[in-house]
Amino acid sequence: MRKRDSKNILKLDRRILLAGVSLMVVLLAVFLTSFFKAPPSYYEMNGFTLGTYCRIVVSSKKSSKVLAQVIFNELERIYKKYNPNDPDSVVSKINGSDDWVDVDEETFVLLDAAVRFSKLTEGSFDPTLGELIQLWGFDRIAEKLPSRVPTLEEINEALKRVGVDKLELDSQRRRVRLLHGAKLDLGGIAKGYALDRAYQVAKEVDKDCTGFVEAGGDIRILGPKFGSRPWVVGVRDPRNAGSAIAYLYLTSGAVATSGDYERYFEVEGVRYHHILDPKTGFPSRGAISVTVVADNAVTADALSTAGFVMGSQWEYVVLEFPKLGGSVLMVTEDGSIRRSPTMVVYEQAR
Amino acid sequence: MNRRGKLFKKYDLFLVIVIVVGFFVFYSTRSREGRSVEVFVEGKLFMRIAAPGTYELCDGEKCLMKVVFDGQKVHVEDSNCPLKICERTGNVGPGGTIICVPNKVLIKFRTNVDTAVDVMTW
Amino acid sequence: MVSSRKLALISSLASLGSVIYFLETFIPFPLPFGRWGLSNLVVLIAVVLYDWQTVFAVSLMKSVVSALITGQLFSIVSLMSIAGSVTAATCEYVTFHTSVFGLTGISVLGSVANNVAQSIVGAVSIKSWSFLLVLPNMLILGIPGAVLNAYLTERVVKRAKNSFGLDVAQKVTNNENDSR
Repeated sequence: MRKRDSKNILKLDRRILLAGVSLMVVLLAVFLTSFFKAPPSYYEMNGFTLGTYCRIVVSSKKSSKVLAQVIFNELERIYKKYNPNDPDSVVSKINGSDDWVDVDEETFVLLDAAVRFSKLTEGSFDPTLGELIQLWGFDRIAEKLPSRVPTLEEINEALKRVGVDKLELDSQRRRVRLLHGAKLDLGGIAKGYALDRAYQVAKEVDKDCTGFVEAGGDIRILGPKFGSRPWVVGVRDPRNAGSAIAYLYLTSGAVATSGDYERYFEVEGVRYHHILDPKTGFPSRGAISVTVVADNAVTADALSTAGFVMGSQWEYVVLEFPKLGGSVLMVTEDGSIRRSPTMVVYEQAR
Repeated sequence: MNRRGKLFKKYDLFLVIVIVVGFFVFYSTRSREGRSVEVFVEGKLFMRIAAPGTYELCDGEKCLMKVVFDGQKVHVEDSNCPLKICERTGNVGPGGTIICVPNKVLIKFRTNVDTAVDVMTW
Repeated sequence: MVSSRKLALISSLASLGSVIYFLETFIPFPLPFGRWGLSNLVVLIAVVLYDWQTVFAVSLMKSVVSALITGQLFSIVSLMSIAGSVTAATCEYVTFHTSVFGLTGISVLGSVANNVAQSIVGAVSIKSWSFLLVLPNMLILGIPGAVLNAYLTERVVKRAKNSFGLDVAQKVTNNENDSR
C-alpha cells in the first residue's frame, strides 16, 4: 500500500513539474517578447553642425534612425541659412545690403522674434552685434584665437552700428533693412530656433516620438524618456567641466545655458569671452553662467544670453525672467548660485 | 531521508553556493569590461580605448590630438585646434564627454553603470 | 466546492501575510536593494500544509491585500509584488513536490523567483534593462530572509500537528508516510 502511494505521488509530481515548468517558460516568453516589442531603445546620433557638437537621442515607432537624420538635416539647413560666415546665407545677404531686402517668411518671423526679445530684455539681447563681434574676432574664433583687445575708440565706433533700432522690419511687404551699417548676428537665437525647428519636424514625422536634441549644451526635449519619465539634465559647473551644480528633470520644453567658458581668450590674465554687452561693447561681467528653462528653445536661448548680459543685476533676472517665460538658474561672479522661485518645479525628481 | 519538509538538504547548500558564486561572477565580469572610451571623428566611431595609455589621433599625416587615458579618467593633450577647449575640459570621468568642435572630434567615456544624468547643459 | 474551513484558513494566512508585509516596512534592511521578504512565510506554510489552490489563493490575496494596505493598488509596485508573489508560490509548490530541496532550498528558490519576476515586470513596465542590473544584489540579499522563513515554517509545521485541526495533522502524517 505504501509503495502504491509513493508511485502515485511520483506520477503527480512529474505532471505538476512539467506543467509548472512549461507554465514558467510560457510566462517568461510572453514577458520577454512584450519587452522586446516595446520601443525601449533610443537611437543616438552624434554630429557637428550649428558650429558646435550636436547630439540627437530619439525613439520613434517609425524608424528612429531616419528621424534622427531628418532632425540633423533640419539643423544643418538652419545653420547654413543663418551663418554670417557663409557668403550664401540669408544673414550675409541682409548684411551686404544697405537697402530693403525681401526675405522669406521664416526669416521674417525669426527676426521679428529677435526684435521682440531685444525689447523685452531692454536691449540686453541684441541681434545687431555683428560689427562688434567681428571687431573682437569672435566670428572666426574656431579658426584663429583672438590675441588683442580692441581699443576704446574702435569699440565706440562699432557701437554706433549696434542697436535693435537700426533693424527695420516691414511686415506689409515682408522685407528688412539695416541702417547705419549695422550687421546682423543671430548667434543668440539661431541655435534655439534650429532646436525648435528640430522639434517641429520630428513631430511632423511622428507626433509620439520621444527623446531630445542637444546642440552645444542647449537642449530641446521632444518627449519624456520611455514616454513617462523625465530626462535628467545636469547643469555644468562653470569652473569644473566634469561636474554638475544642479539637476533639472524635464519631460518637455527646452533649456539653454550661456557661460563665459564657451568661447574666450585671455590677455594678460584677463578672460575675454564671447558674450558682449551691447551697451559697453565689452564682454559682460557679473555672471559666469546662466541657465534658462522655457517652453521653447528660442525663449531659452535668447533669455540665457540676455540674462548673462544683465548678470550684475541678478535679482532682476531671477525675478523678472519667469514673467517672460524662462526660469533662471545662474552663477554670479562670486560663485554663488541664484535661482528663480519657479526653478523649483524643474529641480524635483518626479 | 527523503522526507519532505525537512529544514536542510544537501542540495540547499548547492543552491546558495550557486547564487553567491553567480553574484561574484556577475560583478567581476562587469567591472572588467565596464569602462571604455569611444572616440568619434565627424560622427563616426574612430577608435575604442579600453587599456590605459596615450593614443595619438591622426588623420593621415595630420595629427589632431593625443588622447590620454589612465584607466580612471581621460583627457586631451597637444590638440592642434586654436581654442583648446578640449584640453581645458581637463580630466573627465565615467559618463563625461570631451568635445573638439574644430576637429569634429567627440570623446565619450562610456560605462555600463547607469549614470543618472542623460545630458549636460553648458 | 470550497469549504468554509478552507476559506477561513486562506483568509487568516493571507491576512497574516499582509500584516507581516506591512510591519516589515518598518524594519530597515541594512543594505540597499535588500528586503526581508518575511511575508512569504505564509505562502511557504501553505505550500507545506495545503493543496495548490490554497497556495495560489493565499499568495494572490496576500499581495492584493498588502497593496490595499499600503494604498498602492494598480500601481507598478503592486503589480510587481503580485507577479513576484504568485511566481514564488508556483516555484515553491513545484520544488516542494519534487522532493529535491529541503525547506531552506525551497524558500531560497521562492525568493529568487520572486525577485526575478518582480524585476522582469519592473523592467517591462518602465521599458529599461537598468532594472535588471540590481537583480544580483536583490537575489543575494534575499537569502537571509528566505532562510529565516524556512526555519519559521519548520517550527510552525511541527506545532501545527498538535494545535491545528485534524486535516492538517493528517496531511503532515501523510507526507511523512510517503517518503518512508
